[in-house]
Amino acid sequence: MISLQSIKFNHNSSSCNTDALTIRRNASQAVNVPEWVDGVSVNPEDSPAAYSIADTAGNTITIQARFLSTNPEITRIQVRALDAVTDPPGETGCAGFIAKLIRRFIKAVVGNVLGEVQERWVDLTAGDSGFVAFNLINTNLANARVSKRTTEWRWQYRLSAGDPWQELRHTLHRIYVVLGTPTLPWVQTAGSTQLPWTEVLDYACDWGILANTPDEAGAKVTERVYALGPGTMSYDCPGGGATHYALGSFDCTKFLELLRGGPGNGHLVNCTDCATILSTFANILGCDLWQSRMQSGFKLNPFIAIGYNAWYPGCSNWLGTSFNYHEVAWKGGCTASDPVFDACLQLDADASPDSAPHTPMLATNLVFGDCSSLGYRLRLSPNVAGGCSNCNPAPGTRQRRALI
Amino acid sequence: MAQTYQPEKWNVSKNLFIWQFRLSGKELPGWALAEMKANQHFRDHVVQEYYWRQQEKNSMIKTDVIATASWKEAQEVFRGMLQEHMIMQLPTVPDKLALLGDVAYTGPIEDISNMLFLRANIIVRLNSIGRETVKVDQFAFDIDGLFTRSSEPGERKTRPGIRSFEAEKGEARAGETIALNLRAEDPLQRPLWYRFTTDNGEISQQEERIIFTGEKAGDAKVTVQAVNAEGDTEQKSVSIKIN
Repeated sequence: MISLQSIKFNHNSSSCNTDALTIRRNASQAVNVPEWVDGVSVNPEDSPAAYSIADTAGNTITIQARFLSTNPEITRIQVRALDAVTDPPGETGCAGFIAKLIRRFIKAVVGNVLGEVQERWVDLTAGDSGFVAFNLINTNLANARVSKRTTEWRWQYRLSAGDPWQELRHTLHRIYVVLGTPTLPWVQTAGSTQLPWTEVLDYACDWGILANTPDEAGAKVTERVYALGPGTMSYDCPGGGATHYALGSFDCTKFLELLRGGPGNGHLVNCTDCATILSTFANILGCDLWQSRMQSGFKLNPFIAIGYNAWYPGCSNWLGTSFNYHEVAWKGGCTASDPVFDACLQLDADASPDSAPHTPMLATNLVFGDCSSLGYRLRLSPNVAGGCSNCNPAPGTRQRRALI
Repeated sequence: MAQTYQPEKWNVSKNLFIWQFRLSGKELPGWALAEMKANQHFRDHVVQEYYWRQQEKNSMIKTDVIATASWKEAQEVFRGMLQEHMIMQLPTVPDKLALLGDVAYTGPIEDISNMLFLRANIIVRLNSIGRETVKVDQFAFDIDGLFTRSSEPGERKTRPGIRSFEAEKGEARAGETIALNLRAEDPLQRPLWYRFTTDNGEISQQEERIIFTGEKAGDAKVTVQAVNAEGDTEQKSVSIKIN
């Protein structure tokens, strides 16, 4: 009897040009390689892998698989794997043709991007092939955009080239597609707790779905983080705008707990939390954002804070209408000429941000700017004494908080 | 514009020093410790995070504790914590809570569901984080009481044992530092924390050593109380002559 024993997607942890990124599940759990193991992996999420579009562009993706045979007389087999969705077993006729068309459409949006496993001959020594490299064919990573997908493979084998293919195994895999290698705080250092977490990829790939560029991904993540209010989180007006998830490190474990409906560190957040969540979840998709501040002590235009629905310059329960500081996700050097993404506040998009009526807009890739043109800065802080002129970029504060 | 907290007006518990503080989960009646972790930090200081759940209710309180090496360092860190608020100025607590901590601030709401206070070398932040928002003021007093209320040494066999408590020198000039040597253990090997007090000077930590600094000429008495997870205590004192 021939069996598929295991499959490696990340078979070279020092590179991600022809194989998967090095990832982990969360702060405490690793993703073991081989990712798929017979008798262990049942559901797609039991066998996760993530691929970078930019790093794999133009390259043949490879995986490694290991086979066992209980018959010592079998020393060579030919193996391949078909896409189980577009090539399911036993479908014929008109209904089968229509079903195949529907499946091909689904595949284009959320389905298999790894294509098929190209057939090759595998030698068995004492019933064990060891790990054997396979090329993937008909892959579609280049067009996949940001997404979370399922790959279903029908593994088949035969003993001779002229024999009919024998069904060997049906395997399921969770495949995350990101635009580029995740940037800090995410790393590709084997064993690090800062390897990309699948628990973050699960949300980030949904939030940034079908983004084709880092700016587009950053904008989508901004919108989805802001949309977590008021059901999941709200601005910390009661506490004076304190950080609850990013005091030193980013308590991503507690934030994920909150997303799953648990208490986390509570539902209140401030700008530091929003900037940290946004940049961390965007950077895992291949964006390159920082958490950086503007300061110190500046008056505010009316805005709608996350979780609220009314325009107000700050919080109505606060004495005064100023911020001590504000923190956003920021590109480049985090200077006045660099764009920001802000998931904490909706600003006024019209020509008079200091007065009604107001037109809500989220700052997504909006240049910070100065006090004479309507960039982010002047939309946040009016050009009055103690206003815009006090709202200065503080690039010395830029950081990417480590994850815990 | 700048924040206008006025640390020069804060009270200071110079004569109190809390060392190796930790909550065991049995200190606060009606509340169960659901989780404790110590992987967060503020600047270079570890933040002990305690998640308390009230039995049969949807209320939770998160308590963050930062222990520093001296009251001076605690004030510095406390100022940093205040500056991490986006509001220009957090209000101090109402008069009825004036005895809480050396100084205490709360959010600008009537129901006190969050609080930040300083006592000696310890900073405590409390937040109601459950679905049901609850006041944290009584909870804060209970925590503060652990720092300030010396309890009578118990008679139980499982109380901590202070094997030795000595000053490196029996005499010193005012302002001169003297190392205090302490050896204590719990009969069941549970972790202990310590409450140091003195009637003449202050106590702090330098690297791993506990240091006493006399303030004025005369006698100084330094007392240490070891506290275990059950709240059982044992105490010893040393006398030092200050010239």
